[in-house]
Amino acid sequence: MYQRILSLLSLSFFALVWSFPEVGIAQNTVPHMINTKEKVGWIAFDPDLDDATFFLCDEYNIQEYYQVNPRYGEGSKDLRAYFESADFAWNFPDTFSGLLTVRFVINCQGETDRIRLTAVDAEYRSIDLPLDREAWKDLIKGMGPWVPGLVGGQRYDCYKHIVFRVKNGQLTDIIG
Amino acid sequence: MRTLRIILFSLFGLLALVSLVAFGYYRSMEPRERAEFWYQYRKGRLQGDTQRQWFMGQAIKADPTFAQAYMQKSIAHTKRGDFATGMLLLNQAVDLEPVTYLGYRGYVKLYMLHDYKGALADYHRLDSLTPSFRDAPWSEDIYHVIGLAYMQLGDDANAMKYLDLADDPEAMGWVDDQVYLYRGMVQVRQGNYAVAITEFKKSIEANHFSDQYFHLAQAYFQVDSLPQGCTMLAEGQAQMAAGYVRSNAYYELPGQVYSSDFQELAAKYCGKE
Repeated sequence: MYQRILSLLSLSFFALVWSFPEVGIAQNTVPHMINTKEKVGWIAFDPDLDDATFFLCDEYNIQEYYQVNPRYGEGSKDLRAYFESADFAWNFPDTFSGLLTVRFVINCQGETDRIRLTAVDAEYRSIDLPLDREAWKDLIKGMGPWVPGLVGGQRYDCYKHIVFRVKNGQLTDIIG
Repeated sequence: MRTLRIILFSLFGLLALVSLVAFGYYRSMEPRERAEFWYQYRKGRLQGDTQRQWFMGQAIKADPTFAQAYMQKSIAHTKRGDFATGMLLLNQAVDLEPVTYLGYRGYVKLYMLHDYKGALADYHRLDSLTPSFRDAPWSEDIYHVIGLAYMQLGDDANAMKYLDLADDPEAMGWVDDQVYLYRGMVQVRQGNYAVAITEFKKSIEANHFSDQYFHLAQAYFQVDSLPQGCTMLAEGQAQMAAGYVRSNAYYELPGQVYSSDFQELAAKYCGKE
């Protein structure tokens, strides 16, 4: 009985302390150690889709691209040049107008994996697109190495996304 | 042992009493008060953190008309490429408080999504809702961003119309150097290089980023002023080396210039690599 009371008290105490608003810490464009995998935009490892040997410096603290600034070549210019010159069959349906977003992880060594594709229509509603996901995975990995996120001398794993704007099945813009 | 029992029961009783009082107080709150109660707990938790998102979700549950919570909850999603969720939330914020949130949605569409027509619809609607007020969505003059959106669509006439309106230091207290930069870029597109040179010079007077020097150099080369163009190119490269670069952590800026751009132009016109 005492154990139950102690457990209940501990739980209540924890809830009380946990519920206190903490002091503001938000600067969103610097790295933060949150020590958890799960957050908005988290990509869980999927053995059917991902490389089991893909190295992560710290899977519990994968940053966002805007926190640690990974680069592909000089930046957006070189990123666009890669896709514009890629020998790739885009094969967007003629009826599709919207955005295809490719979100992936760049590890602390500049390698990429955990590539996921999502699409929205022109009204930003989620839609399913018939895409060759393996081909897209090869396209992203074919970019070669990135300059990984580097802040204060430390290299970070980070998430990055690239947006492909499509109108009537034609690629019109690459945002990344 | 008996003393310990008394202490534990007393503590438990106190905790139970405090909980009952707190619960009763919470139940007596109006929906907006309850929403603000949950909303304040997002502070100190990082954007995109699941706890932060949960607190904002609780705020919305307590008061589905609390627009601020929708907008704040949307941010991590749009920044991380989940536009379906992000825009769904942001649309709800706009529906509830259009004057407050149209500007932010226009900003997201303009800079992050390159949805220039969508951005224009939002900005024009915001402008029409506030006829006696000069809006500044996300701290930019509304006419500046409207002009930019038209520029990105290739509508030079409307771009210049609104960028000219943005050149009004009395209205806003300042004129963003990028207004002159974009005006210059439109003039270059129109082949009005002399006018473009004037605009780029104004832009440099306001802020000496490397980009402005590059665009000025390009305009000089178009009117065969090679020495001046090469001088501006060298100055721009120096500014870039010193870190005076237009950039944004989230997206590429319109007209953003890279080191290789300088090198290519220098090789073409100034005989340098």
